[in-house]
Order: sequence, then C-alpha cells, then structure tokens
Amino acid sequence: MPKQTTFANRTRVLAAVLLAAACTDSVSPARRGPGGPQFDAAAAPGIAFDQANGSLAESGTALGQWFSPINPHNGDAIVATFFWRGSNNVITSVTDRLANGTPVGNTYTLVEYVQAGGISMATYVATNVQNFPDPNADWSDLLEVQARLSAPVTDGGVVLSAYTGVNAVSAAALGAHRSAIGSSGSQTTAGSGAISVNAGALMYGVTLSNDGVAGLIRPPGFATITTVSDAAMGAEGAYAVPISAGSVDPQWTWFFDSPSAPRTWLATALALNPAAEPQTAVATRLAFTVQPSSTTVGATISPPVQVAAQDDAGNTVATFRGSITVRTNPGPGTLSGTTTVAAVNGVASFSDLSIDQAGTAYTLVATTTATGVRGATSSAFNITAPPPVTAAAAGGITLDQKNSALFESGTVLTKGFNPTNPHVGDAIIATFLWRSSTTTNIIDSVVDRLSNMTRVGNTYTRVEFFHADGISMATYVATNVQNFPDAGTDPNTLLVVQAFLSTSVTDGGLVISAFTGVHTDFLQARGASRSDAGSSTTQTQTIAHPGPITVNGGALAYGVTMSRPPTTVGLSPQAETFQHIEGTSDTAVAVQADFALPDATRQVDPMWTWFYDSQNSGCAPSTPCTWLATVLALNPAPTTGNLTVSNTTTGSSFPSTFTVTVDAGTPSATSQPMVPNGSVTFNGLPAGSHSVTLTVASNCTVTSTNPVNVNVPAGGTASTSFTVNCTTPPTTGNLTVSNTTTGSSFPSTFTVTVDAGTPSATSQPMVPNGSVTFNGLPAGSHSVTLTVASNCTVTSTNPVNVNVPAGGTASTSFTVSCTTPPQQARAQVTGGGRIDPAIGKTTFGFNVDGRSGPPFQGEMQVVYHGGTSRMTRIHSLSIDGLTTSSDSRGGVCVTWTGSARVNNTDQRRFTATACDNGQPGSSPGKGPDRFGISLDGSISTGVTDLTGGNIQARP
Amino acid sequence: MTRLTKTLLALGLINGALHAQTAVSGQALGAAVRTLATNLQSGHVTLPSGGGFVSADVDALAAPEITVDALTTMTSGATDVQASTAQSTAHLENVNVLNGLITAETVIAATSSWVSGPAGRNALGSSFTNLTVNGVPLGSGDYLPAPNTRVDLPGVGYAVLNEQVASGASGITVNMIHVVLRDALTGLTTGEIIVASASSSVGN
Repeated sequence: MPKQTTFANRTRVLAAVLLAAACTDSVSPARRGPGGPQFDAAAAPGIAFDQANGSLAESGTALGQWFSPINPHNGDAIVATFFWRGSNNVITSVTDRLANGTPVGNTYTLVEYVQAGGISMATYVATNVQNFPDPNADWSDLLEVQARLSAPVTDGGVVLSAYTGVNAVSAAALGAHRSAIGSSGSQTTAGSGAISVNAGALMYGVTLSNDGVAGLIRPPGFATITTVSDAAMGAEGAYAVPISAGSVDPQWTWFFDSPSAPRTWLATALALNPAAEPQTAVATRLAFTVQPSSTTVGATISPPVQVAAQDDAGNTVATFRGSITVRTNPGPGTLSGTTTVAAVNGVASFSDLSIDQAGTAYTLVATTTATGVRGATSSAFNITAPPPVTAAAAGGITLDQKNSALFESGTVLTKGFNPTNPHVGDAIIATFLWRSSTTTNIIDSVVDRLSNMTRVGNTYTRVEFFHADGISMATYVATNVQNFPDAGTDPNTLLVVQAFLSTSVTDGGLVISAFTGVHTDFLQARGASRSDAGSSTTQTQTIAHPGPITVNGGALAYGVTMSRPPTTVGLSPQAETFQHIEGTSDTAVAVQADFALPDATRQVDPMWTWFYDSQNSGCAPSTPCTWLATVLALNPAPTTGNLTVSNTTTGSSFPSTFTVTVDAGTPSATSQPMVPNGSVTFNGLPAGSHSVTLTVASNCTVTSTNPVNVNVPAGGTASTSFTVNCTTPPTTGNLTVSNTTTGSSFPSTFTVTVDAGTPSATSQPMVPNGSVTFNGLPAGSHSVTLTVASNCTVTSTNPVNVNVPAGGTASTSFTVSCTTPPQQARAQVTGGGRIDPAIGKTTFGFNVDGRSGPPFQGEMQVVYHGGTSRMTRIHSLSIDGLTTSSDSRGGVCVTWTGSARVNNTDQRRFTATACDNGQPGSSPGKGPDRFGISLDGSISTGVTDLTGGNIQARP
Repeated sequence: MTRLTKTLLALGLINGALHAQTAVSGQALGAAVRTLATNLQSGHVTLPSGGGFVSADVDALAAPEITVDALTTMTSGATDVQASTAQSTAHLENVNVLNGLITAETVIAATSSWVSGPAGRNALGSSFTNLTVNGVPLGSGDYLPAPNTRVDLPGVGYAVLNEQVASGASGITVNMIHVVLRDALTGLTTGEIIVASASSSVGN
C-alpha cells in the first residue's frame, strides 16, 4: 500500500528532502512527473505523459498556472482541472497564453464540473494544442493556462497536465467521463466511479477536498501528476494509460481526521483516446498545420511552421517520411534557415526560418518530391522592420534562475539552484527569512558553494534586514558571481547559497534568484532599498509594502514579502508590472518574491495583499498576523562607454580647434571641437566599435590613421589619439590670365596689367589665345586689365576683379575680338621749301613714308617767323596718322599727324598737309604745290602755296 | 672758283640727260668760315643719295667773323619712276658778318631740283630780310638781289649776294652771302665766308 502522508506531514517531509538535497546534492525534488504508471498498461506506446504543474491558494478573478520549466509539445492534449472555494461554476472562459502575455489561442472544453461542501472543481481539455514555443527559450515563453472567473474567489488553483499521443480531434479524443462527491470525518475512499476506457487511452483522475492537511493515497496503478494544497484545500491529479480496453475506477484514500466536521471530497475521471492508427492512410497533399506567424526581419518565425502530409480527408499521414521544402512566395526577402525537413510522423517542423527583408503578405509554399502529394500555400504573414534596439533589449536585466526553500531549521539556511545554474556574471539576490524572537540579524555570513561542497567564494552583502513580531527577513546581494559551471546542470556542481546563523532557528528558509544584466560592480549596482513591517489583528486583507524607492530606468526592482501565518498573497494593482519570481510557505510562514523592470526612472512601491481574511489565518489581537516587506533596486550593467580623443599637433599656425566626429556619416554621428594638443571625451557612446574622424584646417594634415575605429567598452573609457602637423599658410598666390581671341589681324601681344594705376601695378604681354601667370601676388582681390590694339576689343568685363587665394592660383579669362584695321594711306611724300603765310615766312622740309605703320616713318622740320619774334622751330617726333586726299588743283594732298618738339621744349600735336600739284612751273593748270601746318590751339599756317621748293607725293 | 665753292659745286650736276628715279643729292649749310684763324661749318646737312630728309638746328653761332642767333638747315629728296626731286633750305636769323659789315634779320636760301620727264631747278624762296651791307640797307623788308650780285667790301674783299651756281640739268647751289676775303695789299684771297647755302640736284 502506498505510503500515506498528510499535507502537513508531506510538507515537512519535502522540506527535509530539500534540506538533505542541499546538504548533499542540493537538488530539490525533480519536477513532478510520472514515476512510471503503476497500472498494468502503463507502458502503452501511444499516449505518454509530457509536462505538468499545479497551484493552489490563488485568489481573485483568475486562476492559472504555467508549465514550468519546460513547455509541453505542440500537438499535445492538455487537461486542466481548476479548484476553488465556492459552490458555483464561475469560470467564464479558459484560455492559454505565454508567460510574457502573448495569447496562444487553443480551445479548452469543459468536460466535468462538480461541487460540494463549498468547493468546486472543473476539468477542461484541449487537444492538439499549438502555437507556443516548443521547446521554450526561457521562462517568458512558458505556456500558461488560465481560467477567467465571473466572481472573485478567495482560494483556488489548478492542476495542469499535458500528454502526447492523444487524438488531435477533440470529439474523437474525449472518451467517457464522470464525477462524484462524498464526505467523511475520517479515512474514506474517493472516486468518480468506473468509466470505460479504450485500449491505449489516457485515464485521467483528479480529486479535491476541503481539508488542506488530510493525507491522501493515489489510486492503485495510477501515477501522480501533481499534488497541491493550502490551508483550506488539497488536491491531486493522477493518470494511467491502460493497454487494453476496460472499465477503470480510480479511487483515492483521503485520511480525514475531523469527526465533528466531516470533510468533503470531489472526484472526476475522464478518458482521452489515442491518435488513430494511420495504417491505410495515403498522403495526397500537404497542409500547413502551423501557419507562419508575422515577425520581424531576421527573427525566427515562431512557433515553428509545421507542414503535414495529409490524406484526402485531412488526416495526417504519420507514415509519410518524405522531405518537405518551403519557399517564399511572393515578397522581396530571402527565406533562410532549414527549408527542407524530413517529415516525422507525417509532419515537418521548420524551427529556424527567417526572412531578411520587411514585406507584407508573404506566404510560404510547401512542396515535396514525393509522388502524388500536392503542395500547399500558407496563409499570409508580414515581416516588419525590427524595432529599434533599446538599452533594455540590448542588455537589459532578465531573470535567470530562482529557487526557494522553507521549513529549514538549525543554524544553516541553504538552497541551491536547480536544475540549472545561473550564468556566470549574474547577480544573485538571496532573501533569508526565519522565525525568531531575536530582533537583530542573526546571520553571521552568507556564502556560496557547489553541491559537491566546493566553496565558490562570491561575496554576499546584506542590503536589508527587518524584524517584527517574531519574524525576520534579510536580503543579501552578490554581483558578478563567478567560479561555478555556467548554466551547468550537473547535480554535483549546482550553485548553493547558504547563510550561517549565530542562533539556531526552528523554521526558516530562503528565496534565491539570479538576474542577468545587473551591473557587475556591487557599489554601482546597488540602488535604493527599504523595508517595512505591519500587522493585522483581525481577519482582513492587508496590504504589505515596504514603501516607495526610486528605481532607475532599466534597473531591477526586487520585492519580497513574508508573512506569519502563511496565507495567499497577491500583488496589488499598483504593482501590476511586477512579475513573479518565487513563492513558498510552510505551516508558519510564507514568502513571495517578485521583480519589475521599469523602463524609466520612477518610484516603485510593490504592494502585496495578504489575505488574512482567510478563515485559517487566526489573526487576533493576541495573535496578530505580521508581514515584512523589502524592496531594493539593482542597476543594470552599463551599455555605454566613453571615448577620449586627443591629438598631438606639431608645426605652426595652429587653428583654434579641430573637429572630432564619431560615427561620421551615420544618423548617430556626433562631433566636438578639440583644441590642438588637447583632448575631448564623448560620453555615453553605445559599447562597441565606433569610427572616429578628425577634421583639420587646410593648413594642417592628420599624419596618423584617419578615421580610426575604436572599440568602446561598456562602462569603460576607450581612448585614441591623432597626430597632426600644421604649417603656416601662404600669404601669396598666383593668377593666371588667359584670353580667347577671335577675328582677324591679331596683334602680336596684348598687355595684361594687374592693379593698374597703383604703385604695385605689374604687366605682362600675352599673346592672343594665350595665357600668362603672375606669381607671388598678395592674397586678396586684384584688378586685372587687358590692353589691346586699336583693332581689337575686349568683349568681356575689363578690368575684372579677381580674388587670389593664399597658396593657390586664381584664374580669369578675357574674350577679345579683333578686326582687320582700315587700310592706311600708303602714300610717300617728300618736300621742302618755303611758304609765306600770314603768320610769317616759313621754311619747311619733310619726308614721310606711309607704307607701313602707324607709327609711320618720316621726319619733318618747319621754321617760321611770327612777326618780329624769333624763329619758331617745329621738329616732328612721331607720325601716327597719315591720309591722302585730292587737291582741288588736281594734285594729291597728304596729311599727316603726330607729335612735335617746338623750340626744343614743348610737346605738341601737329597736323601737316602737303599737296603735290606737279613740279614747279612744269604743270600748267595745276598751280603750285601747297603746304601747311597747324599746332593744337595755337599756330596754323593754313595750306599755303609754296613760294619756293617742291613737294613730291607718291600715293 | 674757290675750293669751298668747288666743294659746294661738286654737289651739283653736270649737264646731260636725266631720268626719273635717279639719285638725288642735296646739302644745306648755315654758315662756313675758312680763314687763317677760323675754319668752321655750321648746320651742314647732306641728303642721302636715295633721298629722305635731313635737318639741323643751331641755336647760336658766334665766331670772330660771323654771329647768327639761330639757324636751321634742311635738305630732302625723293626718287620715283614718275619724278625725282631734291630741295634744300637754310634759314638763319639775325646774321652779322664781319662785325656788322653785312647784317640781315633773316636769310633764307632755298633750292629745288627735279626730274619729271624734263629736269628743272630753281632757287625760289631765297631772300634776305632787312639786309645791310657796309652799313647801307639793300632793299626793304624781304629782299632778294639779283643772282650773283657782287658788292665790294672795302679793305676786306667783296661779297657775292644770292650767288647761284648751276650744275648739270637740275643741279643748283645758292649761297645767299659769299664773302671773299682778300689781302688789301697783295690782293690775295685770305679766306671765305659763306652764309646760308642750299644745294640740290637730281641725277649725276
């Protein structure tokens, strides 16, 4: 006969087992699972137990629990039996979701509801459950089954169990089921009554009583799923898988010990049939049994897409072993991951698919090379751009591992992480609690070791201690824990935390939790903390809270509360963001720890409701119910670092600043000025590689690598340095002047004059369509003038101002148009003699050659007497104009102009005309030759007949 | 004929047929003195044989035998297939020869020679202004004595005014004042003074 234990006794036994485990291998009892069906059909190959969990002492308008620490498998059947104190079925719905709140959407169908003696029990079944991570990545992916209630309950819970191999079709899966009730003040048998069970079917049974301390023995041949209890109720689920069909009547033995107040029991049994044998099924088509879900670029499509080979009726053909391939259609992205998977039991599961580009209405197309099997197209899904990475997402704090223990005694309180160690580098928070009248902290030291007794040596620092009314609670923190197998699962090397007490206690325990992402330096990690205590002398719900502290954004807010006596606890609405870490209780005290990760700095004051209104709380003036509460903050590991940039500058003419740019050309580019031979620091850069670019003035050169990549450590400061050389910038520049000349009769050169009319004027000849360069001009604006021959015209702006850069070369260009000049007179004229105009007798002589020029070759001398004044001499210096004309007497006149020296001193313009009318006396009818000269504004002889001499003109 | 005269006449042309585009020559001289004590030429210009123009200015000439306030001499000429010409002038101001023995406010010598088919020459334009000889005015204002007018200079010699010497077909020299100095006892020539001489010639 199986061993009988009461709930209280079982708790103590369990605590003893835990303590023993901590002292030996630190391993708490393994997750409750089947120890192997003791029924004669336990080895049936179809249906197998998968996962289970349970809870009690819940309250409010929802009852729920998640599988922990491992999810069931997709395709399982889940049986959920909810319990509560109450006589009506207040369940309005049963749904499932992930622990992080993501709805899952499987359908739970009520199979049995039974109530009696103020307690109720309802059993729901969901078959072929889908759409949850299998396996789960962490606790946030755990599948939770929750019942919504139309009215709050003060005490309730659930037993969850999942089974593989159950028929996926709900109607086909559900077999017989029934329930029964009973009551007794002493040992009694509880059973629903016999039901028919098919061969290989699941036989599920569950019982509930309103006696939280009564012992219980499971039905013979059944395996225990889980047992739950609190002060008011106790329950247990069990299962068996008979190999052959028959009638099964699961019967529990309740050891009630209340002759004066009989206890009530409820019992339910149900059968779930196995999946149908597909011996004759032939696959004809593929079908997406798990459709692809929308996700972000590059993220794994989860839950894994599943494609089943089905027959014409839509049944999965388990014998199908072919390979199934998926591809995208349509969409711009590329499908990555394992896209061809061999079917197992007719189903191919694609667990690592991802798409690298955002898009909408993607579909997957499944095909197989198997003959006669049609492909399938999935429903549409979207791939969206990944959300911006936040500090929390990139390096935020996450709960890693946790565990708890109570009902320990002696001078050591100890507990190990089980079944998995935290990660090296985690922060561990250990809250120790005990019953003692000593008001001071009796913990001498807190240490850690491995389960094989090897000391580890991390430092645990007390953050809070509080005592009130016979109970004490102390919270210690160790950051950056080291020297143990990272995430190890070897039972011999699991990490154990223990407190050594100065005084023996009769009841104590601890809650340990490890968090990833906490600052590794304790002093930097430690934030605010505070504790408080309170009590209630009546049986009323009481809010426990430590008082508010300020928690930085991204930091960890850890809250823990304990109570004597133990009762249920719930988080108040103000602390809805808190998530559950661990809770446990024994007959005297209870403890619950929770945590929150505020995304912004704010006040945090976790509030718990201790349900002292429980009929068993016993709160009274003489026996007050007392709670303690602590909250503390641990800051996150930094995700940013600093970068110091310096420079060593040599040379001369340093600019006032350089410019340092980090991540130039990116949206996050940031710049700071930096003085020569100085440094600047960029604070708060995201840890990682950054490009650093130094921009310098034109007279300086960065002689070291530029840009340079620097790795900025999280929480640290990287540095880099540039070397720069500067030179004195030039003060002069060059000017190149060019011309574009069109037309004809180009002169040999033009003349370019810079700064004409100033003392620094300088000129150079420039050939048509050529250029000249003026070197060494002072930097700045200069006027440039182009002087051209009279037959040319500068058609562009002239003069033009040009800015000559220091150290550079400016340029400007003129456009010039030249034309062939009018034909000059080609006459030659020679003569000499005398005229006697009114101004006085005048002698003259000349020889002017108009065949080339201007200027023209030739010379002229004129002497005349003005009255009695002395003779005036006019001697030509240059002749620049010459024309011919006809004389009225029939001869030819030549007129030439030029400049002349007058009496050896004055520079005057003259115009002289000589007319050749033939040789003296030899040209009858023409008359004498004529000559005349005029000086500007003063003297003119008029063109006068010669009184002596001769003129010979040769036109 | 004195040597100086020969020199000047050497510029002249001999008789004979002349053609255009032949060589031209010309000279002008402000003054020339050759005595035992003085040997000078002032304002002497010579025309290149190809023609052209040459002139000279002398602001003042002062010698024991002659003073001139200013003088300008010019000679020009050109050669051409149609005609070749040469002309010379000497233009002097305030001339005083032999301490007032001969004075003139202006003296102009002008010659012109040409070949244009026929050859020709003249000395038109030559003149004196307010000429005095031996203290006696000759004429009034502009005055041109007849060519080769001889005037005795007692105790000194004689002077030829408007002395013209032709040469060749077109050559001509005019010396406006040509003084021949003679020893009063022996009658031998002791020197010459030429004032305002112009010569021109085409051909030869």
